[in-house]
This record gives sequence, C-alpha cells and structure tokens, in this order.
Amino acid sequence: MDTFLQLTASGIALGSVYAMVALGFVLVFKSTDVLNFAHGEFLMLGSFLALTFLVEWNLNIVFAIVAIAFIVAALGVALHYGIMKPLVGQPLFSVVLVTIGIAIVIRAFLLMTYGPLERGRILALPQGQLDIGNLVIPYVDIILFLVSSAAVVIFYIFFKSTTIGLQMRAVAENLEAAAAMGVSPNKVFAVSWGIGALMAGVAGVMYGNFTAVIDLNLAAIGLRAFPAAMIGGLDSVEGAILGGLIVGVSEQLAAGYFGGDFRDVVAFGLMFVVLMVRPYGFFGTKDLIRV
Amino acid sequence: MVAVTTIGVANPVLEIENVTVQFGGLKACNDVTFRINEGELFAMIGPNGAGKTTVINAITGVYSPNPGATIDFTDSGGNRHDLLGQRPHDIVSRGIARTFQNLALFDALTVLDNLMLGRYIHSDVGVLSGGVFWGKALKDELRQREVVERIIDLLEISQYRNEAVGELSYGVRKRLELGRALAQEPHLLLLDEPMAGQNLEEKQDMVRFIADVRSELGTTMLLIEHDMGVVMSIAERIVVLNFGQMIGIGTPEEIQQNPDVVSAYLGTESGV
Amino acid sequence: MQMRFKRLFLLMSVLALIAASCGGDSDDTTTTAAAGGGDTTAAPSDAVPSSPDDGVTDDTIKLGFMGDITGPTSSTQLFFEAGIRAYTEFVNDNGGVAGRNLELFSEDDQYSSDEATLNYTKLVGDERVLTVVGQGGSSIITNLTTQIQDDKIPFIGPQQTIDAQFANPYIWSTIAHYGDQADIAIEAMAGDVGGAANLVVASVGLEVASGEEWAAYIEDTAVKAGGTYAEHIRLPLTGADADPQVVRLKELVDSEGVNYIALHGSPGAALRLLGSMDKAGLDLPIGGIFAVIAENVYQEGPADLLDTYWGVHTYTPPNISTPGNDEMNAWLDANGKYADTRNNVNFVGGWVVTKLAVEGIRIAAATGTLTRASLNTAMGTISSFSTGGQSPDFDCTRDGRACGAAGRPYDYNGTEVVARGEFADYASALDLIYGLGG
Ligand SMILES: Nc1ncnc2c1ncn2[C@@H]1O[C@H](COP(=O)(O)OP(=O)(O)O)[C@@H](O)[C@H]1O
Ligand SMILES: [Mg+2]
Repeated sequence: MDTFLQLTASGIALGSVYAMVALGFVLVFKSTDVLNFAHGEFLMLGSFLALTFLVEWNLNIVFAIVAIAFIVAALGVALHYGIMKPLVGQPLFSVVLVTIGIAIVIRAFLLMTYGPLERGRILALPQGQLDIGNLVIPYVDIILFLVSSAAVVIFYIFFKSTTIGLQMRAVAENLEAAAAMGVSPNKVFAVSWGIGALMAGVAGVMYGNFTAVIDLNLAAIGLRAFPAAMIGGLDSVEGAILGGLIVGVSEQLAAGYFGGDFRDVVAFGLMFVVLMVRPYGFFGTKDLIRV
Repeated sequence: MVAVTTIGVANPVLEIENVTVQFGGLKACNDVTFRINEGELFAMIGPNGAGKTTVINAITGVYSPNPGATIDFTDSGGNRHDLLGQRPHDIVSRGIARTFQNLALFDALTVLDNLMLGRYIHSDVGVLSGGVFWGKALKDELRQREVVERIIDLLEISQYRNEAVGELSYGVRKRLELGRALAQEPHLLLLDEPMAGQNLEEKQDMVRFIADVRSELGTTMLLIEHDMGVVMSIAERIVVLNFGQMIGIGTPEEIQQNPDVVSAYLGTESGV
Repeated sequence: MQMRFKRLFLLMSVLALIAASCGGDSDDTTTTAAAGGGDTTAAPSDAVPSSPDDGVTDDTIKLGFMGDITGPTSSTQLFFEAGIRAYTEFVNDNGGVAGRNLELFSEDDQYSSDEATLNYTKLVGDERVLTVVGQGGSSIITNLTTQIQDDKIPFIGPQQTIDAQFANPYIWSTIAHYGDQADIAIEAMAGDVGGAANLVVASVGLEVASGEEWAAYIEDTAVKAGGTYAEHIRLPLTGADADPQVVRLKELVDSEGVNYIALHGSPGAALRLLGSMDKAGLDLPIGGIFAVIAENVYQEGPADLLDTYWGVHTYTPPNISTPGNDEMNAWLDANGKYADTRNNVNFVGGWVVTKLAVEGIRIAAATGTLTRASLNTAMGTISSFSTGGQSPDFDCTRDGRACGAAGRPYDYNGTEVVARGEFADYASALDLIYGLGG
C-alpha cells in the first residue's frame, strides 16, 4: 500500500507535466491540423534554457519561467509564420515531415550550444520532502503539480472564456465559418503555435527540476504527449489533461511493480487498449475531419 | 406584401463582371456579370448545380475566378474595393456577410458564442488583450453583447441562448446562422438558400425576418432561393443561372416572361 | 472519417518510430591528421611495401572509426573519438609509423544500426582502412560480427565489452569483461562493508543485454564470495527519472537489508539514479561499471551521494598522473588542443586503444608486410604492452579475454577522481569465469 501510494504520488507529479505537454500538442493539432513532432524539442529547449537561466545565471525561478515561456512562445509564433504558414494545403505527411525537420534543427542547436554531456537536475526549487506517515513526497513534486495545474487552469480559462479563446475554438471547429466571421486563421494558428510551444517550454522548465538528467533524450517526454493525447482524445483539451495524468500514474506504477522496462510499454499499451474500446479516446470527437 | 423602398440614385454595392470559376474542365459559372444596388434585394435562381453557390464563393474569396473578372464592392462609407485576390476574412471585414447553404455553425459552441463570433470584426481588442477580462476588453465585450441581444430578440431565439448549437433543430440553426450574419452588421448580405430544408411555418418566419431586416436596417442582399413564390414576391431583381451560364436577368415580371428562362428552368418547375 | 482516423493513427505510429530512431543527418568527418607537417624523414628501414587494399598507401595508413558522434550516446563516444584523433595527430607529430602518417576516417552512426552498417561498408569496403579503432555500440558490433569475420578486418579496442566480441578472433577487446569488472567491484564492496559476509547487494542496470549480463556476474560473484544478492532492478534507456526504481530499492533496504548498489549504465543513467535517490532521501553506496565514471556525473550529481559513488575502469582518468597521462597532457598543453574533450576518461580510452593499434602496426611492419592479415597476426603476439599506466599492461595473447582484462575502482574525493590502489591489487579477484549472462 505504501509503495502504491508512493508511486501514485510520483505519478501524479509526472502526469501533470505530461498533461501540460499533451495540452500544447493537442492545441496545435486542434487548431492547425498539424501533428507537431517537434513538440518534445520545445520541451527540451525549455529545460536547457532553464539550465542557462537558473544554473548558469542564477536568476529567480519565477522570472525564468516567464522569460522562457516568452522565448519559446515567440519561437512557436515565428515557426508558424516562417515555416508552417507557407505549407497550408500541403499533404498531412509533408507537413509532419517538416515538423520532424524542425525537431532536428532544435536538437542540433542544443547539441552545439550545450555540448553532449548530460547535465544534472536543476535545484532551483526548494529541496527536501514532506513526510506523511511512510509516504515521502519531495517538495519538488508538489510544486511541479501545483505549477502544472495552474498552467492548465489558466489555459483552460483562457480557452473557454476569452475572445481569443473563442476564436481559437471557432477556427478549430470550422475553419471556413471562422473565416466568414472575419477571423484570420493565420493569427489564430500563430497564437496556437505560441501557446502550444509555451506549454511545452514551461513544462520543460519544471521538468528540469524534476528529472535527474537533462540531456538530448528529454524530447522523448514529448513523445509521451502522443499516448496521453490519444487516450484522452486527440482533439480534446480535457482529454489531454486526463490522458497526461493517466499515463504518468500508470507509468510509475508499472515501473515500480514490474520493472523499469515496463515504463514505455505501459503508455503505449494503454493507448492501444483505450483505442480498441473507444477509438476516439475518452473525450475525442468521432469526426476528426473539418468541413 | 413587402414595402419596397425605391432608391432614387442607384448606388452600386456590388459589381461583378465576367466571373468564371473553373474546376478542372468544368466551368461552374461562366462569364457571370451583374450589379447589385444599395438597398436592393437581388435574387439568384437556377437548378441545382447551376453555379449559384460558386458565385457567392467567388465574391467571398473562397474561390478565385479566372483572369479577366471584376469583383468590386462599395462599402457603407462609399469606398470602392477590388475584392479579387483578397482573403475571405479580409473581405468579411469590408462589410460582407454570408450564410452557408449547408450551415457552417460552430456546433460545439453555444448560440451566444456563435453570435459573439459574428461581432468579431467590430471588436477592437487585439490578439493579446483579447485574452484578458478587464478594462477595454471588458467594455468591448459588453458593447458586443448588446448588439447580440438585439439580434436574439429579433430572431426570437432567446430560449436557446446558452445551448450548444449542435443540439438545436435545423430550422433554429438556419435562423441562428442568419442571426450570426446580421451580427456582423454587413453592408451586403449573401444568403445561400436560407429557407432550404424547412417547413412552411419556418419558411414564413424566415421571410418575415428578411423583410424586417430590410425595413429596419436597409441591408442590401443577394438571396439564393429555390422557392419561386418567395423569390418572385420579395426580390426586386433576379438573375438566372443554368449550367453556369446566365440565361436571364431582370425584374420578376421580366424573368417570368423570358423564353430562355421559361424553357430552361421555370418550365420544369411547377407552381410558377 | 473512420478511414482518416485510422490513417492518422498509422501515420503517428510510424512517425513515432522514425522520430525515435533518427536523430538527424549523419555528419561524416574525414581529416588527415597533420598531413605533410614537414616531418617527412621516415627511416628507410621502416619502409614496408604499400598495400592500398589494406589502407596502406605510399605515404599514409588509413584508420577507421565508427560510432555515435552526434547521437544519443555521444556523451561518451564523442570523447572516445577525440582521443583516437588526438593520438593519430600525436603519432604524426612524432614522425608517423612505418614511414607513414596516420589518416583517420570517422563515420558517425548516431547509434543507428542501419547507419552503422553503411558506415562499415564505407570504411572497410570503399575506403579500405587497415583497421577500425574504438568502434562504439554493442548492438552494432553484435550485428557486424560475422561480417568482420568474413572481412578479417582487425577491430581494435571497441568501446564496449560484450560477449559477442570475445568469440571473434579479429576483435581485439581492450576493456575488461563485465565478468572481470564484477569481480573487482565485489572485492571492493566487500572491503567497504567489512567483509563479503556483510555484503547485501542489489544490481541496477539499463534494460539492455549487457545490463542482464552484469546482474548475472554480480549475483554469481557476490554469492561465491559469501555475500548476499538481493535482486536486479532495471532502468529504461531513456526517460524521466528513477523514482520507481528507488521506491523498490527502499523496500529492499527494509526487507533484505541491502547495503550496496552494483550499477550498470551510462553517466545519464547514473545521474538519474542519483537524482532520484537524492530526492527520496536514500543514501546507499554505489559501485559500478566503467561507463558510470564521468566528469559530468561528479559535476552534476548530488554531492552527498558522490562520496560513496565509484566505478571500475580499465583506463586511467586523465587527471591522474602516470607516465602515459603525463606524456599525453604535455602534448595537449604544448599544442593547446582538445580543450573541450581532453578532461574525460573516454578521451584516454581513445588515446590508449590507438596506442595499442599503433603498436600492432609497428610489429606488423617490422615483419616486412603491413596488411590487415599481418596486423591481426601482430596483435596476437602482444603479450605485455605498457601504456604508461593509462591502463593495465595489455596482453592480447589470451583467447577469449580482453587485452586489458583488469581494472580498479575510481573514487571521487570531492574535487577529482582518484584511483583506489593499483591494477595489480585486484588481479587476484579475477576468476576468469565468463559466460553467465548467456
Ligand atoms: N470545390 C469544388 N470542386 C469541384 N467542383 C465543384 C466545387 N464546388 C462546386 N463544384 C461544381 O460546380 C458546379 C456548381 O456548383 P454550385 O455552385 O454549388 O451549384 P448551386 O449552388 O447552383 O447548386 C457543380 O457541378 C458542382 O459540382
Ligand atoms: Mg448551392
């Protein structure tokens, strides 16, 4: 039981990061129809920038989060206008290949800038732990959960009750009708790329405080956005949040009980099971095609 | 049944010339030429596949016509705009609103949100400040809400206000789409078969709404409609398309007497 | 729509695989080290006939390197390659070997087996290098082993030490086998806890074949020495953290009294384990294989755990003064070279295996023919080659054993890496029994 609770606690912390990552991924897909395979690289960029801001320059963490969020969001917007926009109308597959290209460029940039050596965990958050009976919850995990939840809630309010959020939902649902309202799809696409990247970047900063190693394998965390998003429903914001938590918790439980090698298996295994029972995920809509 | 205000000087709102839209070898509309004057209710008729919707799509920038076409629009301030090559969302902000033959509502959103999106072009908050809820953005939202509430009253859809659109009946959705176009306060309104798929009562309501809009707002309209009775009674002028070709243009009386129209189209319809 | 969904899904799965397996464009580099550096006074007695099919031309000897320079394991292999390159330059600076300059052809595979197979063909088939030095990637060499046997191409000093290498007469392994490393590790652990009888060890390893091999040797050695073995805990190759593994370790501490961790992995894996242990407040001593010793683990890992963290290695880290390291460092200082890569034990590894390869070339050349075949024969005669303390003396005459089948633990004293004793101190611990891992 202790073990179970311990693993679940760690899984919730991890899952809240996955939720943030999946949310950004789903948002970009929902609005722009692009499966962004550079999403993990956005996260990784956030983690590496956190190394510079927090470890090398010793800046305040709140400032660092805001600054990195801004940088990564700007990159997302720039990518939209510079690369994705001219590709509108190209086949899905070519667009996806372009995002893979972007991923490669980001990796190469990080390799050149930071070198190939693994870096350790960032210690910018309060260290130590909360003991509840036999349960040990590191402060880092708690803060991680709180920040991710805050990011998700802020995004949710933004998405559901602001004018620009409304436009984003409109574009996501019916591009033609949105254009007929005078909504510029490009502006909305750009905002979606910005926010999608921002979520990944902030997740990266937080994750850098959680993971023991920061290296070029971090992008794999971005790959976790796929099962998380698929489980929740590829076009559902709520689904991304739920999917992230499910993947995080089940991953830690599986690794704890069956060994580390089950970690990767479980996320994708779960995805296949969910897709067999509910092909569109928990919250996804059946009709993924736009009018 | 409708009081038509005749305007002394015919100010053109829309002038299109030689509009040809081609899909591969098919000319969906061929050399279409007409003008719509300010305050006019101009109807476009023709059998299915005649190219009517294509003309609307050409006007709104969804399709680009072949070279040699002219599409000029004069906005409420009297400024003339060449619409060719402009993107749909830019054309909309000049003052042209449309409805879709097959409905293009945001089904997952509420009636209110759909109408609020109609107000988008009149809202003056930017992308970034559109994300906050105070100051200018809040004031703007309240102003837009006022307009939307008036439309809700006009179209008698207040009981559906907070319902998701996907749940509503087809008739109500048609009405809502008209409302959303009205929320845009357009200078020119393009209505693509607004009465299609509705029962008699709903059709009558829709005719009434269109008439109200004309008398209250004086909006210039291009109406595509199949119901000949409706068209003949409310349109001032009519253009007839057949296989993409214009086969007649004129007042309802002229159209009814046009031999080409009669043989190609009206002759096949009963009840004219 | 159903169709589209399926296609989308298929596409995603395929692309997930692509994304996972291809890091980027391959980045092949070729340099002629210090070619024509003015020092062309080759002694005529060194002159052996050219053999272009064996990478021996009139003025150069071609060496090959294949490994991961920019991919996921570049954090070790990059340094290894740099050490190889450095040593070829060092040799050329000092008049070359067999009357010729060395020319190094490096091929980057980014840890991809497919890319590596292409690279192998480029080096061995097209470029016709004399030997491949310091190859990296255990699954890659496993795939290539029959090909190597067919081509009879000497592979000198691969970076890893797995069973597949030991059965192949053309692969001249240098680093001690996991069986040897486990012997040394258990001996050191037993010393730390006051005798093997007090030792309760759990193994932690990456979920690859060599990790299982390591676990088997640790279990066998611990039990034979009279200690207790708890269980093997696997770490995924990449991924988040080692939180679940640490939860299990804590349970084992409570239930079995585990008091030592025997670690298999990379610097990244070590950092993950250390980071999660630190977060969860678990303080256990850790002794590991050669690959867990790395500058960045000491710099980036949690300080309070590093005082009881060590690893067994066959190569001597560059900061430890030995005649070989002194000579290397002096040359690096004098030339101001390799500032970014020289402070790494893998750099020494690359340097040392190239030193061994050059020794083989010398011996072969002295017989009057320098070919792949004569190099293989020459390698087999090296029975006691000193690298000046940069490794144990190499003995390549023993079948089925690494030339450097010895090692010693290295500790971290808070500022730098220090050796725990001499290589000879651990010679008696080696039982020379291999093959437990299957
Ligand atoms: N996007 C398109 N691609 C190909 N053909 C089209 C497209 N849109 C319309 N068409 C064709 O153009 C012709 C005119 O269509 P449309 O304008 O919708 O007719 P109407 O509205 O008069 O019923 C039809 O034959 C239709 O099939
Ligand atoms: Mg039509």
